[in-house]
Amino acid sequence: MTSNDATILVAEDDPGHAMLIEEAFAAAQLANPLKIVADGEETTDYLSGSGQYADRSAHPVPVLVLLDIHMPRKSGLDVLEWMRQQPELKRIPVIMLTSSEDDRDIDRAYELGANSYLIKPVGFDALLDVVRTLGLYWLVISRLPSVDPP
Amino acid sequence: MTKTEFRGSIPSRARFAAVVAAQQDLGTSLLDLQSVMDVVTERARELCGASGAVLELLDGDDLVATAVAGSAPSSKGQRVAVAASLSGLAVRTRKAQRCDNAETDDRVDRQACRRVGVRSMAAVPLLHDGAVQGVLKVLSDEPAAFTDADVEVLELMAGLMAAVLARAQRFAAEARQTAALRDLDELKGAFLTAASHDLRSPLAGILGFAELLESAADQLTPDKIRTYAGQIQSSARQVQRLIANLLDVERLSQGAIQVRGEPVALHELVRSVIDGHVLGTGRRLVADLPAVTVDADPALLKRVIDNLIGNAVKYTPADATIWVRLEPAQDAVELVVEDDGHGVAPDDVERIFEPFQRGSDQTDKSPGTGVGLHLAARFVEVHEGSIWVENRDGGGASFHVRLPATTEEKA
Repeated sequence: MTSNDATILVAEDDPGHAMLIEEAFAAAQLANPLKIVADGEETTDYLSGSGQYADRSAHPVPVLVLLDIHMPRKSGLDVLEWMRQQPELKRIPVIMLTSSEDDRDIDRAYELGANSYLIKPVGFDALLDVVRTLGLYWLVISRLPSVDPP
Repeated sequence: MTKTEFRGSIPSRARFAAVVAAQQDLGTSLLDLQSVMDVVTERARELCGASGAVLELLDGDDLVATAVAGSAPSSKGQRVAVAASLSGLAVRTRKAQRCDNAETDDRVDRQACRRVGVRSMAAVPLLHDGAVQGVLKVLSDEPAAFTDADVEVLELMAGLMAAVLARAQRFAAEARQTAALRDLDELKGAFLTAASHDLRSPLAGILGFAELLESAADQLTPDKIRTYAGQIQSSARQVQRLIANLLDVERLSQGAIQVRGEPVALHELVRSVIDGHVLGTGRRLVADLPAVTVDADPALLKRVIDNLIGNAVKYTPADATIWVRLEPAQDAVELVVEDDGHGVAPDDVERIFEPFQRGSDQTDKSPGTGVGLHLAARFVEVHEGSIWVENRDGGGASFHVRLPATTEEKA
């Protein structure tokens, strides 16, 4: 069962890819609100509730974060490292969703505390499969930690 | 043991045999140039029965002592102006010089020779292919220590040394060339990795939206269908632009870019490039394009504009505004592409136009081939224009292209 107000944060700099992820969540009938941020700095702004994201009722702390690695201004790995040092954010599950198949990125992500590392599939049907599986595993089967707003 | 006795103990034929042996030694030795020079200098000292020997190499207007054997007045690394000394004379005349008595010879500095205890010396130039590379010199504390036979031996050793030096220089040049090729190879490898990522990302978009349109066409609103079709176009153009850039880089490196000058309606060209870009939802583009004509190659100029606008679209946030302006002046016209994005780091203001470079802010984060702006700069250069970037008042980057143009107002 997915909760309607359990927000998922998606950090993805390519607007096309972000749209596809949104469509895949809709097609997988995952009702969680998705919040899309387009670069690493926007991601940390959102997570810390600073700047344009100060209003927590409009921009709630997410229950799950999907992080691209290659993003302008701050990489997904930088964001992850930062998240794991924030007392209020460090237990939020983080799933890397990236096109990088570089072993160094994969190793580094797990070292920094990523909960999963998924290669962004090419094509909508393959993406839908990944989102369905991810939704089932993380939002239905798994028990998620409680969220404290910073 | 006096030098005369030592010298006398080596008959002339044996000495030539020793030279040949030295030659063979060096011919088969590995190229550690300094040891070769040390060996040659020491052999020259022995064979001439000298108290000391110095190998001096020409460096600009100086002779630098590079190998020293026995007791010689100069130490390694010491520099002497070519204009002074017997060695200098050997360099200038390209002939062996012998001084039998420093006390009576006007060509040498008597005081200096007294100070270091040198009475006689012989210096022969290192000649290879007509070029002087330096001097091999032997010294003695006795007068008239060196004979014509000694000078001949010294000339043989100097010839040998010159040949070895030339070979080493060739070897060093080849090593440099190999290193340069290896660097280029690495650069190309990194570039290919970036290029394949740059291709894969828009291709994933094309395939994703095409599949989505096919499988969900019935559920999608016309607005969404239009948006997604637009995404496919924009991704396909990105691929097209990347391929065009790759081909241009290759053609540029082969010097195969031809410039055809003709009158170009710049405002129309800029407009057509803008129309070819899909900005994405939220991004705005404000154009101010007064009519202006320049003499230029329309195809190359189009690529400049395309890369600047493409760069602005790629590196600004989704809600950014991009301004494109033409500013005609008396003897030039300026194309300005500005945005209210994150701007350019001070270190990158120069670097950003170099090949395979991108803003340091992006390094290892947002992948890209880093050729777009480089090509823009090169194409502006062939039009004898200039290109630069500054930070816009109020944040964001401001790219300027100035073309020396016959500005001609058109209706």
